[in-house]
This record gives sequence, C-alpha cells and structure tokens, in this order.
Amino acid sequence: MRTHRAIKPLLRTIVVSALLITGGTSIAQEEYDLLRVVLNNAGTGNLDVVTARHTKATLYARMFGDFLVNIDPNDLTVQPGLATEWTVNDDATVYTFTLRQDVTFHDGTPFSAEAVKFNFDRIAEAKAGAGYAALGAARYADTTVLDEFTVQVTFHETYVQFLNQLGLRLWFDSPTAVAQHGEDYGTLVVVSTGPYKVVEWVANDHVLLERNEDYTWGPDIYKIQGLPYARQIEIRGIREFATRRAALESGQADIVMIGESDVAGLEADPRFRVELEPKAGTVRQLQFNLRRAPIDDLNVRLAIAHAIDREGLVAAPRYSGAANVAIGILGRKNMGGDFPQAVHDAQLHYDPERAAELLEASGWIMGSSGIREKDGEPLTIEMIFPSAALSEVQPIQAMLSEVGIDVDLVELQTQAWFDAEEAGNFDMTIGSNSGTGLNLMNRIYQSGGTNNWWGLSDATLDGYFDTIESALTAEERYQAAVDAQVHMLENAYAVPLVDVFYPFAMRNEVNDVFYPAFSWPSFYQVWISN
Amino acid sequence: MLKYGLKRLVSTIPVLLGVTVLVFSLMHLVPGDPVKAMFRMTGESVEIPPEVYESIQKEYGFDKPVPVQYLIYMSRLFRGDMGRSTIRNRPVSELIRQNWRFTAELAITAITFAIVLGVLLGVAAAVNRGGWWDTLSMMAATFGVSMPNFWFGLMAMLVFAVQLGWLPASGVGGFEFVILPALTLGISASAIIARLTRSSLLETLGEDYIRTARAKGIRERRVTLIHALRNSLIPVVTLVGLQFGSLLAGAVVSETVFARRGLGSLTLEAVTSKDFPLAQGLILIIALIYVLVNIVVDMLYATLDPRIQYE
Repeated sequence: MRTHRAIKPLLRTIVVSALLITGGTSIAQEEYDLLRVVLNNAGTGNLDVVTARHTKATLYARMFGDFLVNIDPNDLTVQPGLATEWTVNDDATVYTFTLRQDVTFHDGTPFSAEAVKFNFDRIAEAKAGAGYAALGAARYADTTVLDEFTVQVTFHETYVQFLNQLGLRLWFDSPTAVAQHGEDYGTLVVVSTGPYKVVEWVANDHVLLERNEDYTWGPDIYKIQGLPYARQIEIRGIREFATRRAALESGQADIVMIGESDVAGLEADPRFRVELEPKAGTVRQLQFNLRRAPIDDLNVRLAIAHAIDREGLVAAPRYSGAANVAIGILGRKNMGGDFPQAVHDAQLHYDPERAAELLEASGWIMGSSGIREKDGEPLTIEMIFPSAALSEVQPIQAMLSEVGIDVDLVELQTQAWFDAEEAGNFDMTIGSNSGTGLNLMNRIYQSGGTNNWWGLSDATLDGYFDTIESALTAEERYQAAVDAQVHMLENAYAVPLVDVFYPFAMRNEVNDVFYPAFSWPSFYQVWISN
Repeated sequence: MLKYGLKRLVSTIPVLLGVTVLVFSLMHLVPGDPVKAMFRMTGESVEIPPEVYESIQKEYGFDKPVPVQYLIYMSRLFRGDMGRSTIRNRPVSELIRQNWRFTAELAITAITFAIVLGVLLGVAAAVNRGGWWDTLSMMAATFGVSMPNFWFGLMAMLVFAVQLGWLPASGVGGFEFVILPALTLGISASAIIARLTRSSLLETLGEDYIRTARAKGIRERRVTLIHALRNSLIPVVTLVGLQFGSLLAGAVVSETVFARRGLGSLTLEAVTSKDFPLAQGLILIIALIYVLVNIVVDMLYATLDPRIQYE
C-alpha cells in the first residue's frame, strides 16, 4: 500500500484509535530489541563533523547527534534543538544562541558553549567539505563564548542560510573524545549527544547504534523527546536493488530503501507499505555546455526541451511511474511542496512540432537519413553520462531522434564523467544535485560558481542568485528563486526532467519513520506494532 | 622439495614487482582524479577549495610525477607500509586485515564445493560414459559454465532466501550466510572441474595398468576410484589452482550481489572511487594469494604422483 505522507498521520491516528477503542493490544508502543534498516549504501569515510563528506553522515547524525536548531518539515519554520532560543542581528551576521543545560555527550562531557566553539572552530580550520560549507565557508569569522550556555557566532558578511544549515548537518563532537582518540576519531570512535551511540561503524557496510540511556532532550519536531523504542538500530548498505528487496522479503530487514521499479510490486504485497519521500536537491535535468555549437543556439536548446516527453520518461522502466514530472530546476521539497503558477507557466511542454519549427528556424533541415543537417553537417549532440544513467538516457536519445537530432551517447565511469563535465568535454549531460534550501542553485549556475561547468554567465540570473543568498526576508529569497527558475526555463539553460522520490518500503508493523525537511529519514521515533 | 618450494617463492618476487608496476600504471591511466573522487563519493559534486585540494594532493604525494610516486610507494611497501586509504582514511593494511577472513571463508567454501561437486559429476559421467548419467552431468556442466554468476546468484537468492526462507539473502554471519554466495561463486568452477575430471578419467581408464588391474580381478569400483582417479587428478589439481584465482576475482560479483564484506567488495569500492593506495594494496595481496596457491598446487603433484620429484 502506498502511503503519501500528507495523509499518513491521519490514517494512522484513525487506525490506532479504532484499535484502542476495540480493546486491541497490538499497537502498544513498547521497547524492542533491534530495528534493521537497509539503504543503498552505508557511506564511506568517517563520521567526524569536520571531515564527513558522504550524505549518509547526515542520516546517522540524526541518530547519534543533535542540532542546535531543527527545521519543522510541515512549515519549514526553525524550531529549538540544543539551543532553546536564538537571536539574529539586522544584517544576519551575528547569531546568539542560548543552549540547553541538561545535555551531555555520550562520554559524560557536558555540552556547553565551549563545545559549540570547539566544533565550529575545528570545522573552520579544516576549510573543507560539507561541514565547512554549512558553516558559511569564508564568511565564518568566529565563535565567542558569552557564558557557559550562551554562544555567539559571527560572520564576515550576511549569512541568511545559517539556521537552515544548522538544522541539517552541524552536529557536535565531544571535545574530550576528539582529543583522546586523535586520528581514530570519526573512523573508529564517534561521541556526540544524540539518542543513539555509535557502537560499530564499518564504512560502506553498516553502522550499529545503541540507545543512549540518558537521552531526555529530543527536539519537539519528533513525537517523543526521551528514550527511543528500539534498543539498537542496524543500518546496512546494499548496493544491488534486487538484494535490498530480497532483504525485506526474506525478513532480514524492517525498512528498505528500494528502487522505483520495485515500488509497484511491493505496494501490491499486503505485508509491506511503501512511503515515497521527495528528494531534496535539484531535479534530474539535462545540462548543456553553452560554449559549444550547436548547443549555444537557444532554438536548439528549446527544441530539445520540446522534444522530450517527460511523462513518458516517468512512465519508462527506470522510474516505473514512481516519480513526478519535474517543474523547476529545484525539486518540490526545496520549494516547500510546490511551485507558484509562474514556474508552472514557464514549462516547455512536449511538442515535437514546435521543436521541428525551432530547428528549422535555425537552419537545421531534415536530411535523408532522418538526421537534420546544416551546411552539410549533421545535427549531432555528444551526451556524456555515468553508467548508472543508461536507462534514462536511452529514451532521451530515442525522443530526440524523432525530431532529427542525433545523440551520440558516451558512457563514462562516474569519476571520469565528473572530470569530463568539469573540463567541458561534452555537449549535453544529465544530472542532479543533492542539497537543501533555495541557494543550492547558486554554486551550480551562478557565474563563477564552483560547479558551474556549463559556461553559464547571465547577469539577470546572477542578480536573482545574489538575492537568494543575501536577502533578509524569506519572501524575497523565495521570489528570487522563482524568478531564477523561470528565467532558466525560458532560456533553456537546463531542461528539467524528473523530480525523484526516495522510495522506502517497510513491514506494515513499522510506524512513524520521520522525514525531516531536508535530507534523509530519521528512525529515532520508530516503533513496531506487535 | 623444500628447496624447490623456496626456489619458487623467490621466483614470485619479480612477478609481484610486475604486478605493482602494472597496477600502478593502470590506476593512473584510468581517467579520474583521486582527490576529487574523495569529495564525490555520492556521485554528486561538492565544492573543493583549492588550498584543500593542494594539501590533500601533497599529503598523499599525488602532486609528484607518477614514477616518483611509484618509487615512494615501493620504498614504503618494503617497510611494510601499504599506505592509507583516501576514501576510508584508515591504513590499507588495517582494512585488508579486517576484511580478508570474509573473502577467505567465501573462497574456501566455494572451491570446496566446486571440487566436491565437480569431481563427483566428472566421475559419474566417466564411469557411465554414453549413459544418461553422463548426459545429465555434462548438461549440468554446460549450464554451469555458460550461466552468468550474478544471474545465478539472484535466482538462488529468490528461491532459497525469499521463497523458501531457508537461507539469509545477504550479509555476513554464521555458515548459513556463506552458502548461497559460495554456491554462486563455485558453480562455474565446478562445471569446469567436472568436464576435465571426466575427460582425464576416461583417458586414464584406457591405460595399460588399468587393464592389468582389472585382469588381476580387482573390483571395478576400486580400479576406478583408487587406481585411475588418483592419476587422473593431476590436471584437475592444476585447474583448481587456476580456478582459485578466478574465484578471488569472482568474489567481487558474489560479494556485491550478496552484500557481503570482503576483499572483493572492497576492491570494487577502491577502483570506482579511485582510491589508489587501497586498490594497489588489494590487488597486490590478491596476486600474492594467487601465486602462493599455485605453488602449493605444484607441490601437490608429488603427493598425487610419486613419479614426480622436485629438485
């Protein structure tokens, strides 16, 4: 049974109430020994907030750590966490936090303003990775301890995204443990403040978490604030889709991240339930090398956009219907659920006839082989892609050939694909980025952006990005994000394709998986019906 | 024999040196930047400040010319230092130590299964030459050789783990966790062993000394199993040695399909993430095992056939 998150809590409440009224005893929220979770990978590297680079670290962090603030997934408001209160100065350069006084690290070290300063300064000193980016990178100035439980973070320039970033990935490592374990910290030992302690961490294989028996400071965004129900949680990484599904079906797992093509099959199985969690980040999209002909021609890019049947892509085996047609450059999750009408209106709908007109307007005339030509040259576009995207790019190749565009597919190993993108050795590529907030687009599409590998330089667009980065009100930032995406669609700087979900299948007895505003789910409050 | 063994051991040194040169060259020829790969483990791009990029390059010595990197690598290797994994940030030797037993468990179970099943099928086929046992055994062998092992693994998983629930679908643990991966890994080797055992045994059964044994009135079962089989096993033992190397390579597939820890899945991770030190260390160790197994196989010849003597 597929359950959409919006109606899931209501359904569950009704079912639980009905069982309680009828004297049912099968829904008691009791402690249990082990929750077994299987994901697509378990992450590699380490779990030190300074050097953790893999995205799974943010999932584990919600289990073994806490954040200063939390983002409510229902309305995206900032809620207390380890900080009970905070103030921000007028130009968003100084943030002052009042901390909880009842928090201790797993090793007994008290959590205090000194611990916050220790962690932020360590991150700033390392100057690398996602933690550094979350701390504002070069904008970070320093952290000052005002008293034992009050701390002030100062930035060189306006940093409006700081609270969002705090609620995403800045957990706190115990200063005592970091000093004690040296280079083993993060790879063999992790000591933080969360509801679970890391008992075993085998990179790229599994993490075993054990309940923190002293935990009483869970944030209000969860249904519980004290001890979790599961005494242990084992999170395993399994690369193969079929093996992941088999783990669930054979009873080796309680919750499994599955592939889109497995959604229908598991929905039809009465033992399981599927929950589709929208992915935070940019949507799957075609990206262009705007420095190269014929991609530098707006008509060619618009023609490509009109030649692609996005509904067809969603229905194709790769997604098997378990995805949404992309609307904007950012996913729905980053936009708070949906897009305003302006972005919907800017859609370049499937219209092969319009595509043909645009190509002919640019002088590309249909040749005898079914490929368009201009000055004797065929309309051939070199498309690079990583091996995992093969089932996505093949339908695109077929759709573009319908309008006379020859797509030369070049399959590359992932790292080589990145290098080819960075070096500009392509006409067209396919990709998406994980990430949160509206400013995710900035580094990818702004002039001089570190991941702007497309040769994109547009002053109007840059203006929108500046506003997203620095406007002091959320309304201004949101409007700039809308305007930026409309502008990108109108100029076909990229072609949105599919807004994907992370599908999670679970035993019917599993309850209350929590999906944060951004990033991966949390299993803190999960309980099992008997 | 001891002298021969030592001689063979010494002869492995140039082989292993050759392996280090080959692996080092291949890893550097494949496109992809190891430092950038450290930041792109999730398949998505992450910002890398230039100063950080340079410091990591220096830390791992990637800023030096490849021949210089190779010499540094070798000088460390001779001191027992295999380097530090770029992705996992742990010493390579530690990662190999943590994972080798899972692959050893898998490979030994797989080769045992392959030998037992292969020899049984081969003998059954040879002694019933032209009969239905022969046809059935050789059909099974053809099936085993031609079947992709990842497909066989998935099918075995669906049947024995999902449908019947007899065995776990994935992971590591007790002996029950190794059965399906070992079956998957060993099925192809067992088929090859079966075919070779059959042909070798048939050839031996036609020898004069077998006819003599039969003429002396020795029972057929004894003639086949004691007199003929032992002598026909020499080419089979050679094949087992070679197959063991294939099993180590096949462990990459089996460990991936069954989500097992081990040197195979670690190798895949190292190669795809351009983790030079880890990939080099792993391939060197696998090559060393392969060479050692083949030396042991050579020594076994003398046990099987007393006419063979090493000097």
